[in-house]
Amino acid sequence: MTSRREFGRVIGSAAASLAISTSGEASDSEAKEPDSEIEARYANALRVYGDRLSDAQRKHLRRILEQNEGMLASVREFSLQNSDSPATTLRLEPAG
Amino acid sequence: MLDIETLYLSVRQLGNLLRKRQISPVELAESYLERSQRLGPKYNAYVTLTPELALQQARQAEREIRLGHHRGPLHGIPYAAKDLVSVEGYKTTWGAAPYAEQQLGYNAAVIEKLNGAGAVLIGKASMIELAGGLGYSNGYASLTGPCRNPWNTDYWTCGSSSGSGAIVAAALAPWALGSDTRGSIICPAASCGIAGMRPSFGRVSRYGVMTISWSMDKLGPMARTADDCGLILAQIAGHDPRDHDSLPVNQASFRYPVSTSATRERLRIGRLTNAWKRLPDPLEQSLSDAIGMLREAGEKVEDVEFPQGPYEEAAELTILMEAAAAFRDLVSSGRCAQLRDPLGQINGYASEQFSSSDYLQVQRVRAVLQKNVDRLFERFDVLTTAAQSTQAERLAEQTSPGGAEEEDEEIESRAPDGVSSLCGLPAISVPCGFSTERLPYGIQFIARAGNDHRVLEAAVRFQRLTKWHLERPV
Repeated sequence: MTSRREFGRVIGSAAASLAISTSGEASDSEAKEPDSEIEARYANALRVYGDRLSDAQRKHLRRILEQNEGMLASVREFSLQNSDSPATTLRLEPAG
Repeated sequence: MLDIETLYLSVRQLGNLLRKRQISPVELAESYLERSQRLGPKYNAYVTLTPELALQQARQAEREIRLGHHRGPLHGIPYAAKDLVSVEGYKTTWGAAPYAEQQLGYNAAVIEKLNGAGAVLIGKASMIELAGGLGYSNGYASLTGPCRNPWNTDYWTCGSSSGSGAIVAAALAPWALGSDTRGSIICPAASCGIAGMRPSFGRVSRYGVMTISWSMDKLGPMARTADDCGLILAQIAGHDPRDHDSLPVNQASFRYPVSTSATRERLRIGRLTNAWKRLPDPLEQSLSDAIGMLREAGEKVEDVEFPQGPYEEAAELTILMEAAAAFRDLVSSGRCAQLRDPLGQINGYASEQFSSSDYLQVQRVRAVLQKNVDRLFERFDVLTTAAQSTQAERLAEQTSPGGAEEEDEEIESRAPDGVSSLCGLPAISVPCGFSTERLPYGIQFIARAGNDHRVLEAAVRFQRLTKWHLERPV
């Protein structure tokens, strides 16, 4: 899936841009919140799997978590109503 | 052995020759097998060839056709199946070292259907490891090595249905089965200059097929023409209670061709103007020429934009989260370290850190995005744009972790693969020109969920106007 592969490649720079943009527009406390989530997730991944990872893999893992956080930020920014239910089983819209 | 002109014929043309007994199923199977044995290794196109099964099925088809018993358009027609589809008696490696010796001991539902249709399986096509389920960096991420593009072996076929693309482009078989979670049929079809169709979600049963993402995985045909894709889809579609997400009986089956009256209507085509950030000039020109031809032929074409929203992000997150569950044993056991790609070796550890709240949030957004996209189809029968934003990519191995951070590209937040895959929409890519390096370009058509006949109609009409699909690698 080159799209997935390309997406993985470009999302890194997008996540970096997002972090810069956030720190420029939001207050310090707001800007730190995503970082703490990344830190918590990184620490948990190392707690469970750290003994399997080289230093280079740890750096790579951290970058992946940063990328994932960037994607989550985009999704979390999307406006939802309380009643919007999840597509936990994808239902197709009826064909026209 | 049959000549190369015959081996490059479409499924429809081969079927006509078989029914008229101008060629025999056995000589057809032997010819494709000989070519696959000789050229398959050059492209790393196969994991396994299945000559015993192929000849047994071909002999049976020959007997039946001689007696006047015709099972349908695939009777006696050879094909290859991506190696994530289980075939009884053969390995199903999922393209990945941890599963290199795996035998599942039963036939997938789609193989059962193809056996019933009298098709002849000649081999299991190579693929990206786990179909990219735990992520990957390039075409080397495969148990069988990088799949090389028959148009130029320095270039990749794209993935993850890599072998399926090479097999059809090089006439090692007239068609191949692929799978698509987010672009894995559309991209190799475009890169290899063939037709590739991703059916609506739930149209083809995935029973006996490796899972990446339960809510996004689809199986579909890759063939010489869009018309062939229609013929094949009609044989493999249908409800299957063994697949939780299989469409209901009255929606899953598919007839091809559609009625004559529907095929005379003018198509309302929406040309997507914001699907890609930028396209190379030759691709932009090929696309403009293609749209121009459709207009001149009487189709109604208007510009349209995808609605705003985090489509690509939601698609990628859905895949990451569901793949973490699908491959949980592989990740927790540490056997993911056996994968070739540095990203695949550790991505599962990162994906396990998502919370259930994250997953539900993505799926809540997904449902809204799905409705927003569906509204476009009140105005259009199909949407169209380039199948990919570039020609096929040059093969280059990445052996160290990471390496992506130097890239300075922008995220394609509305790239068509993310939108259509996230929403379960049918899509097809057919060739529409060549780059200056003579690598194929593809144009894709996307339709409302369930309207698979619309993407086929658009692509068939386009192929009646053009001859790109008759070009072949030297």
